[in-house]
Amino acid sequence: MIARAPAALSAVLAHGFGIRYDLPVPLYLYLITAGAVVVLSFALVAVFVKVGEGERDYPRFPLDRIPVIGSLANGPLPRLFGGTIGVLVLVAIVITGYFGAPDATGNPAEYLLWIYFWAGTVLISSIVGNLYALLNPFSAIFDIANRVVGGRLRRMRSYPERLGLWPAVAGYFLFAFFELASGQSAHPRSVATAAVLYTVYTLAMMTVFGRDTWLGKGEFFSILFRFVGAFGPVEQRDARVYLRPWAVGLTRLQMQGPDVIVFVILILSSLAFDGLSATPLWAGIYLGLGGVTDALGGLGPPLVKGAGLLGLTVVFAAVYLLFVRLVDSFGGGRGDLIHAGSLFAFTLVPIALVYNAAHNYSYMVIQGQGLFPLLADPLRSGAHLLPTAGYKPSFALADAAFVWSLQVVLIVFGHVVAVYLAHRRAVAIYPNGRAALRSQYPMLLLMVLYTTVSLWILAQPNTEAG
Amino acid sequence: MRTLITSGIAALTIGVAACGGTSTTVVPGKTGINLKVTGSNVTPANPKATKGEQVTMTITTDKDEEVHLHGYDIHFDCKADQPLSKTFTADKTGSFEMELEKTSTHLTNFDVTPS
Repeated sequence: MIARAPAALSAVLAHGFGIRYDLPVPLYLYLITAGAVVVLSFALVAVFVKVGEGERDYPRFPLDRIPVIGSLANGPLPRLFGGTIGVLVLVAIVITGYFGAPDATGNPAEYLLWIYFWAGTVLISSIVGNLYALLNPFSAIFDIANRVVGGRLRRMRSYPERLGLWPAVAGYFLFAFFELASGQSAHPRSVATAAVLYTVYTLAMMTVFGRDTWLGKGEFFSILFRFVGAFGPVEQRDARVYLRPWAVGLTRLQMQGPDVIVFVILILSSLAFDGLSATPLWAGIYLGLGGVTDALGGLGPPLVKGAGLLGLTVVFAAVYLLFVRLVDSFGGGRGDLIHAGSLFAFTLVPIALVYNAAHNYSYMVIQGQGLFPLLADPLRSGAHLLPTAGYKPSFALADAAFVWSLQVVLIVFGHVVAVYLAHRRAVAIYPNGRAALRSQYPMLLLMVLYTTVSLWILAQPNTEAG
Repeated sequence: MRTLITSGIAALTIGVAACGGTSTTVVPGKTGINLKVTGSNVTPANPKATKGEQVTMTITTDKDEEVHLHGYDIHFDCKADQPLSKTFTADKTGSFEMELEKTSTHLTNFDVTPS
């Protein structure tokens, strides 16, 4: 049993890399919040059903009505600026990843990829809007290359439509596997190699199938950030920039298909697996599978964790489809599971976003500061580029009492927004108000379930395996 | 000189702890935490304190080890079987990792809860 302990402990650090400082949400706070979620849910349905406005378009404010800001936002500068940052960060990840310190906490590549890009850009995009559309380094490199060859990079073949979003689903799964299961995410050299491989792959696919086609179907970051950015208030439509209320942008996403459903479920399940893999429950399962892990040798830990990620995704998808079936039959829909499942999938995005923010907040504000001292000497070559070498992270923004309040407020907020969006969808697709209301009872139950699971994970003690 | 005094206090603390059958001394505003490290195991696991308390943490290792308390960034340069104490104010809340620095081996987490 003792011999197994080191393997189990690696589960503690599943989260990209680094250390978690979160204290688990105390039981009383968990119970109060879970109770509030249930009570609020029913109160909300009563309020929304009187409105019964359906899914009309939402109010928008064209940014070009404001003189200077408007022309700046609609001009080429944001993309030029964002693309430059994106390419520089990608280059920095590759260079410091290969030539910097071999340990994760001493290497800027780890901070840039896992904290600033993965946790941070998702968070900021959900607050502001699709930031990745501006930052995307792959399309920036492609555009530069295309300009160099005089615009001759035309697509070579048309994208097989039956593939849908499946290449992006596969890409996302592999990325989540790399982050949470491979055991390689805290190795700077592996991070650099992954960045190089993904860049080559993405550039090749854009060349073969066309830039915009690949960004729309196969490049999973672009698709993820389109969904995440739909929550934010900045919207780009028909080459103009608008402001809108938060969250309503998700109602404009009308994509259909099992691939769409799986992609959204994967957002939820990979986040949940990240949280779950630091709980005693997972440590117990992992230790219980010790025999299997040992039999597989060196591939044991990644395969067992990968199976955990896949298993959780399958469970989430099955539970979701089961509830959608109930929703559709309560609402008198036409019984098309994929149709209804695609329509309601986007209403779950707020739950994923608030969980992401609640789960990663302390990690971002504390561990994120770990990059500052490294900027003095990013390659650990004895350089003194900036006077930041002695910087010590401040804990001012991560007081536990504050973090707890923030977490429960975020979780309740995400839940309320999700209930609201689902209600709007229901009114739009089911024949009458009564049917729409009926359809929302199972939906409400599903959302209470997701929200309680999110809270439960936040209330779990940090794993002490062994 | 100072180390000598602290080890003296540590030895006393251990004595008190041994008599009381607990590793925590009960003095208002003060917490004594007494950890024993064997290999990569630590007893008692998951020590706790409340924000604002003055913590005296004593660590005894079975071989020469450097124990690092993250967040507070305190290093214990332990010699085998010699208790080493450090006193600090628990002014940051959160769950702080303790590890064997040389091998980056996770030992346990030190939790400081809000007062």
